[in-house]
Amino acid sequence: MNRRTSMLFVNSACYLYLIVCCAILLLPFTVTLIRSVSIAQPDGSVVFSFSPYNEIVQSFWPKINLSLSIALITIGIDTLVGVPAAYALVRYDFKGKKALFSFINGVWYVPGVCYAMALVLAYYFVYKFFLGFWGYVAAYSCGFLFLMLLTCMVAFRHFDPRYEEAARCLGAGRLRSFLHVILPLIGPGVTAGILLTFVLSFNEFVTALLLAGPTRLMTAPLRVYSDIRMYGVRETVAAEATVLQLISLIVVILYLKFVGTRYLRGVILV
Amino acid sequence: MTRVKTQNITKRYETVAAVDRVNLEAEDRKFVTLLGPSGCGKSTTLKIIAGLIYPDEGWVYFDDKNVTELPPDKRNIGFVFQRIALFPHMNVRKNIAFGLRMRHRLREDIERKIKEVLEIVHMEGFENRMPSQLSGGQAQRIEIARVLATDPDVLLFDEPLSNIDAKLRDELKYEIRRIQRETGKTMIYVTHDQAEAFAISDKIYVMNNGVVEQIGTPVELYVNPVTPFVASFIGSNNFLKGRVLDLNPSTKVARVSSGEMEMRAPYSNGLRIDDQVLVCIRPEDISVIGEAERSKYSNVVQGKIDESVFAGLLTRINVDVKGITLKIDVQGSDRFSYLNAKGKEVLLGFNKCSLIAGATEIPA
Repeated sequence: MNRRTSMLFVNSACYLYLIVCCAILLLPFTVTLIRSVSIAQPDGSVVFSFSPYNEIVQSFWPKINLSLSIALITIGIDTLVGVPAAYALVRYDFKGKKALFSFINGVWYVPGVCYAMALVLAYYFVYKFFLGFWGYVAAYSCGFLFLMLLTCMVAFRHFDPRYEEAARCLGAGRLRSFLHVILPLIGPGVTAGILLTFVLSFNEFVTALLLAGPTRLMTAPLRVYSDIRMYGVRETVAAEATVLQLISLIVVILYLKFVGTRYLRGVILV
Repeated sequence: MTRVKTQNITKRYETVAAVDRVNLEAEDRKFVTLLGPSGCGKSTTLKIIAGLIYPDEGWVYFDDKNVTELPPDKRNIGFVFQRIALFPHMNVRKNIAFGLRMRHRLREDIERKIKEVLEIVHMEGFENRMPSQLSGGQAQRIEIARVLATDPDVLLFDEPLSNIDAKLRDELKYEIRRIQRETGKTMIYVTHDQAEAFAISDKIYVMNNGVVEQIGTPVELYVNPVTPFVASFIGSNNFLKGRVLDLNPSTKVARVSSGEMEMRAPYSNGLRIDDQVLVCIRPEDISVIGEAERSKYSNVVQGKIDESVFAGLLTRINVDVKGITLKIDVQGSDRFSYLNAKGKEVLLGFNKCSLIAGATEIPA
């Protein structure tokens, strides 16, 4: 085999590998999409139609709305708390710093169902006002804070303090140097934190399952789960699952296009 | 314009004093340099003056105002960093405008000032470039323009040329000096490069291990080093351990012995007979002479050439004088005469040498 043929062989193998990876990743989405538009007829034949999507609009949209609202408020809280906390954890040395970080990180190592159960106990029996919508927000904000913290800490560790020092020497106070210089330059870290928090809080299901118990307030993923249990994998349930996946995907793509890349552009120029 | 003064500033990291009771004074419109090897505390001193590091002890004054407690943004300083610190997400115009925006200047003022400072650093037409599109030298000029735009009372430079190639460094150091003269600002400049410090400074503070070893003009430091460190750090020197044999108070000349060698050297008050001294003789101050020239030199010794190394502008020869090796730099057309002169007997004469009293160890 000559060099040209072997290169061709290697390239083809690489492409094949990529196609297989994409197929595996896209398979669940594709299967769900096909199922959502395949309507079985009484005579055994299958008709392709988008009518299941019409059927779910009325009942499923409020759940999507609820999930989006919870995810957005969670992102807001985690950004406001996580970014300054990450800055403090990277920049300043204080007693108990490692213990604090381990404690915040600890949530990640607790099985989801145990965390959810602890929240139900705490919210229901101790903090009764934290039920329903704000219960979800509180649970997700605490549960996913470490994601924002970790991604921002990595960004702060790579952030050269001389930019902040330069801003301070040019007359910017702490807040203005943070807003005008630090924040744009740690953009990728914050972007990654926001995206992870969105994807996880929008699609979260285990904690929601237990938290919804006392209040019956259903998020979109919980509604899909509940419908599967009640009706099996019907076309309307598949349509709900497809909508859920599409919204996640569209939000991520739009965010990266209009917000994420702006920050990334700044940093690539470093 | 502003006079900068520090009083006993000290900064410790754990038990090590990075800066130990440093007293510095930069007069109005003067170019003051902190010179020393890496880790000697010069950058820490500069950052304390800027307010970027808070001292454990001591005070910083701008004119007669104690600014120790003021944050950097309230000191009206300009700080140029060792590594380029232009904001990478802003173009040149926005970088220069940053300090002015922080001072709430009007848009027209900002535009006028951007033009003005770009002219000063000869960088007109670069307004829309991003920092990544600038070379090292261009970026450093823009950084200087950025600090000049805010019209600071004091300009602080932390080894701004250390990451720039030699040719450009040479050009930029004179540029910085020119800017200082044109703007009349008080400047404090940190460097480890003595040639750079000598070329641009009015006054130099030589630092070592967190303390100031000597303060003086470039000529004073070169001619009269007062500590072994300064003598070894600035230029090249022959160090000989010696003992004072005799003192002549009228001519202020001491007779000193080192091994079998005897020399005459000027001294200052405080030296006594039998004191241990370190004799410093610069290689460029020693000449290879003929018998007829003996009378022109206060010190004449005979030796044998051990080694000669041609270094372009000069030839460095090592001469063995009664068991002591003296380094000699031969310049001019004579430098070619000693390329293969090993073993040759030569007569050496020198008038200039300095004594460091109390020093018994030859610096590394």
